[in-house]
Amino acid sequence: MTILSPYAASVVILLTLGTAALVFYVRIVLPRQVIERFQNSMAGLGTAVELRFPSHHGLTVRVVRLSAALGEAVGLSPRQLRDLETAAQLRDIGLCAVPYRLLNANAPSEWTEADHATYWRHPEVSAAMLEMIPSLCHVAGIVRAHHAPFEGAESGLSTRGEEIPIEARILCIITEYVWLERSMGHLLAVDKLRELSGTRFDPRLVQDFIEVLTSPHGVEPVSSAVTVAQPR
Amino acid sequence: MRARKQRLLKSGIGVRWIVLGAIGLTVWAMAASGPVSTEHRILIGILATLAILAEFIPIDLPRRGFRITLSLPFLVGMVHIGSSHWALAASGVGALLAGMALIRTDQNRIAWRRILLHLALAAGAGSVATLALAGCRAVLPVEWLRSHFEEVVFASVFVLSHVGLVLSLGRQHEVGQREDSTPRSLIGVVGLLALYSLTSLGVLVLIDHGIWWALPLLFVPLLTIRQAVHLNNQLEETYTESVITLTLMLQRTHPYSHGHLGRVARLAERTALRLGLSTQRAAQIRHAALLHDIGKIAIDEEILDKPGKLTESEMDHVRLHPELGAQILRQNPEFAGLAEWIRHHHERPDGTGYPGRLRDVEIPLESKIIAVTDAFDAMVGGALPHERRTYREPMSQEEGLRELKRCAGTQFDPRVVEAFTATVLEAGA
Repeated sequence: MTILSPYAASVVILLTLGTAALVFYVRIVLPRQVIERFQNSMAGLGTAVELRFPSHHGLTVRVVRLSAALGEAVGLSPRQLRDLETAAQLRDIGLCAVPYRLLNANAPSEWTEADHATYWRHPEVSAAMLEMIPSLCHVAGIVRAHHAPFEGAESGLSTRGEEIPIEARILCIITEYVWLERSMGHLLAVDKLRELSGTRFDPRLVQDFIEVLTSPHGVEPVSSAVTVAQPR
Repeated sequence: MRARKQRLLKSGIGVRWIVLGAIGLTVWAMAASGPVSTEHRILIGILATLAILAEFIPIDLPRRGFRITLSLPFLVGMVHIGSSHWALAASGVGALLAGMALIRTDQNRIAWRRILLHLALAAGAGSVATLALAGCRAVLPVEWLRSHFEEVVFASVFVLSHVGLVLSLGRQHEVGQREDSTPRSLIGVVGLLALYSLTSLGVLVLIDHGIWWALPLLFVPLLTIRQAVHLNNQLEETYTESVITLTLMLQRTHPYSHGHLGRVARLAERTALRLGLSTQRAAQIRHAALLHDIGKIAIDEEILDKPGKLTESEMDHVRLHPELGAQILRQNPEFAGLAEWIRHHHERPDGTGYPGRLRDVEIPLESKIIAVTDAFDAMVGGALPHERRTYREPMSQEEGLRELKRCAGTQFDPRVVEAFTATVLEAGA
């Protein structure tokens, strides 16, 4: 190899140092910033829904944490876990289209058939909104199916069983569990999950989830003073 | 760094002439080439391959319609060994091949015209740079000065003329839509440009010392630069997209707001500029104006849409919306400034506004701008019948301005009203 002139050597050294610094910045600093900003903006969207419907207050945080725990337990890839978390944050943005009084003034037990239909359209509305946002449209499928029953809907045309994305099946169990946990407590909620396992929920995932909940490293159940009725 | 505007292809003003001119200049440059040795040929081959490869890893900045490619260092290398015409050819072939490959993935109908334009821009900039280089050879007297500065001249003229061409063409197509985030990322951009030019110098050093095998290694800094630009762009996208998502959510709750938000945002930005605020501040005000009613997501829409007068308790409920909006936006530290402005957009200089009953000097100027713009648009309403608010007949523009003037000093800041009136009249004229 030829001996470099001082000028050439300084160019090479500067280039190496500069590249090293940029690699550090791009690999370590920037990704962290990107993720942090993304999570912050997701939190803002979640808050908007929780402020609209105070009975939802605090649900999202718990749904996100539990679905991450279950996702990890069943061995989702880091990418799937990220999508699952995003979907958990954004699953309910479609509730904006649900009338204010439906959720805030009337108990679900008093709802008419039409009210139920309005409420249960929210996964579709959320997904349609997400499809308009380039960086979020990839989770629209998960959000759309996050209340889809495991055995398929009555119409017979819907996806069922393993066709439903695994992230959506996880989210389905977790959202239901968090609602039930708040209204009837941890133990009864688990019983209810077992009861609906196979019809509304993926039985294998329910099993895994109960293991997550009861494992020593599991997420401790919260005792909530707020008691709210569950729609339907 | 070469920036390419895709959107301008929609109209293609003079594209044909640019293409013709560029082809002419390129042919001229080819014809002016002298005999080349085998060694040169190999080196040119290596550099051309690398330049074309670099064309295949563009950075897409879709919201700004830019596509950036990083092939310049290798082009400079070719210029250095005395083959500026080959540099032009490689750049053209690269743009062509990469463009053709990208059509397949893009499925874009205007892609062919885009390639033509890319070619034209690359060749145009390259030709200008070549001319500058020739001038530099003639003018600079000292040999070592020439050998060190020729490439710098080529590179800088190339970049300047390329970006200049792109921007001047693009400007005609999106007046008033310019994204202004430059000051924020200026330091980063300077750093990246410095590394980019260092890479170019690196190519020259490697050529001079015959270390050709190391040339592909220079893709490491290039790929890193690409990644940095990409991630930075993603950061800005996150910001823009959360603004969009929030607006979508608001529109789901209150469909009437559709045109209202856009008009308020545009007018607020222009008023801010007229009041002498920086472009960056004005852009922030535009976002704040888009989001000013975001708190209404958490307000009963039946009350908001109710015709006739509201009861006191209903008014109290509606008056929560600035505070609720601020609560939503505060979740995101990037929106912290906006949250404060939105919190106070119903304050009045006479101290009877809500939620804080702030006095004139305590209200942020940004909130005052949003207040005036919002009130005006609520009075005058949209041009389309379904956008009109249900509870009031829309006024004419003159009536609206007169009303603002009447309330200046009590409900609105007189300075802001003055600037706003000028803005509206200017836009209307």
